[in-house]
Amino acid sequence: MSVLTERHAAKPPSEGASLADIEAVYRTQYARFVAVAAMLCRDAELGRDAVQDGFAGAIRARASYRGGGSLESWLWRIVVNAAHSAARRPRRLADVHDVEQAPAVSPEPDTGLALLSELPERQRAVLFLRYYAELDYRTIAAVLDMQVGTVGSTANAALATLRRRMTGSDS
Amino acid sequence: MTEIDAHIAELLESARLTPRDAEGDWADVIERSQRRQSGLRIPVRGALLAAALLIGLGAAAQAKTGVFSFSTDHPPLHDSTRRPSTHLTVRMRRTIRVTGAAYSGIIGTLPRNQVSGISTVNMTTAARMAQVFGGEASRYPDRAGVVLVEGPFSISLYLQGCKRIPTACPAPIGRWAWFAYAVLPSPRTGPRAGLPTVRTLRAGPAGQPLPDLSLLGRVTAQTYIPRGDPRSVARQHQGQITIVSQRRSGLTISRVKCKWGQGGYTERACQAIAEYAAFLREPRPDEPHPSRGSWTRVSGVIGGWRGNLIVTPARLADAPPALRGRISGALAALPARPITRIPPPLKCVARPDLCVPHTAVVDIRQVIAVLNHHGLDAHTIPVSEIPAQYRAAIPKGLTLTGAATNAGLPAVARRGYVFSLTFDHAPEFMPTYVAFRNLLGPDWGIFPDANVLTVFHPFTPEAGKHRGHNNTGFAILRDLDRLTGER
Repeated sequence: MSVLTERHAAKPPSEGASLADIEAVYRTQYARFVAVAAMLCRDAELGRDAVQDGFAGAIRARASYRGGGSLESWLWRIVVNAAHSAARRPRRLADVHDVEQAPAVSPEPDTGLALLSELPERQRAVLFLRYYAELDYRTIAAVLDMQVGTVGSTANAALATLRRRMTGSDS
Repeated sequence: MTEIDAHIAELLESARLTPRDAEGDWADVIERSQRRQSGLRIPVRGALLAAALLIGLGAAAQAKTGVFSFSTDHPPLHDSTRRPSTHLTVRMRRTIRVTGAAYSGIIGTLPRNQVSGISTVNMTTAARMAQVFGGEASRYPDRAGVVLVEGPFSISLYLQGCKRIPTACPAPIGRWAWFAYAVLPSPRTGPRAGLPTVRTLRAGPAGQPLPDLSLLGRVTAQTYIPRGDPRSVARQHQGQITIVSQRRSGLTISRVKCKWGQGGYTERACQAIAEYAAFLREPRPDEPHPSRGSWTRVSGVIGGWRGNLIVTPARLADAPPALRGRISGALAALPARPITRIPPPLKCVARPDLCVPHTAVVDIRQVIAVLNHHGLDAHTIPVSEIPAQYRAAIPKGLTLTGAATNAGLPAVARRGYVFSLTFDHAPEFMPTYVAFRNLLGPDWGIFPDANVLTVFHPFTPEAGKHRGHNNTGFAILRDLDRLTGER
């Protein structure tokens, strides 16, 4: 469990989150948030956008934070949802132009990103939150609204799939 | 805990995507939060007009004239007003719907002069409602808005009309501190949507403290002013009753309109039957008449009471002597005319809204009749002549069935400009309203009502002084509402 998680978990239930607390999480955890969001969006800039939008949404909705879980896991949930939304959203016209102007080369099927992209959405989220954000299973369970045991089994399944594909035994 | 082995860690590390900035931009986050927040602000005049369309002229006029003073514990953080977004539309609709239900809570179910305040929570969950009002979460709707109407109330009769929210009406006889209502989300949209989805959550007995609504979510408090103004009660609609009597002398019928004034019904029969209904504690009786003997059937609406009540000498014997005497005297004094066949009883006793057809559409000729009733000299025009900018503002999926205007006629300068469109079905209220408001600006009255959309501009400085809240505009609105409400 990270320092911030412990700090906010120890905080008693409150009416809303303070702007300062949200800013503190943002400033200290920004790199982790962006790393996870970028991987979920499969795009670094989209991921950055999702983090910015997620925290903006958290500021607007901070009065609804009840203090039932840690502030960090609440923010993670918002950012992960924002990243999922961004990933599903149709690309803007500018993005389409960028794609058209880019060389028509698809990613190599055996690159890391391609392997990770083939995992189911939930497995990817668990794996990225575990590895890039270094969250423990309890926090991941809170973020993804899952049972702690389900987080473990999902992570196992993701790792097993990756191992199979890396060794070529899957094909 | 499952450990990530070295090969997979290497894979994850190689796949890591790095953004251009490594430290983030907090100022950008703040700016984004402000941008969205300002878009959520509700323009007050627009809300008033929408309130007029949702809950009728009376409530909007009261809001405009300051009978209600609004306050919120979440003041807007930012002042700039942006163009409305889809999210804004949803929020406005939801906000206005709950507010409209709150108004109806006052107007339709409770003695208005006893209401001291109203608090609303736009949306909350079953778990939170269970936390505040007690019991299992499964007893509550999954999601609902909550309206708390504060008293104290002393209810001795089934007062007030309840046509729009029969599921929460009438308020029970007794002494109460507060009433809490749930407003269920409704997929229907439109002027009269949402009101039948109001349910009574709980009534707090006299002396019980107010529940802490802040546990439910954002609370908007509305103070009701002035407290105890008897004039507001006198204006309330109270209904009428039909009394059919079978006696040895024959079958007779009487009709009485019930009016409220100075703390009671002005007609003896209405007052006596209202007291008898309160004595019986039966707000919705639907009783068949006996096959033989003498009986009197009271059918209709008296305030919040609605039904078919059979009064027989044997049944009346259970009532207190004074009440019994008042009923007998009032019924005997009614002018009655003989009839030969027993008329049918009142239909849809428990749910009067089920008897209101919602599928009929209004014809452009009916709309023109309403407009010309106000001296606007409207006439039909071919749909193909509708200007492009109006056509562009019409929400997708609607088929125009008619159009009318008074453009180019002297009535425009004298009475104002009007333009009405009818569609094959009712458009969604807020998208239509917002689209035409963006097109025409705040000086126009924009009245979507059922399958009719009417835009109006007074075009005279005096009439337009109050910017869209002029008498002609509201008169059109009221009559259109009546037209579409009486289908």
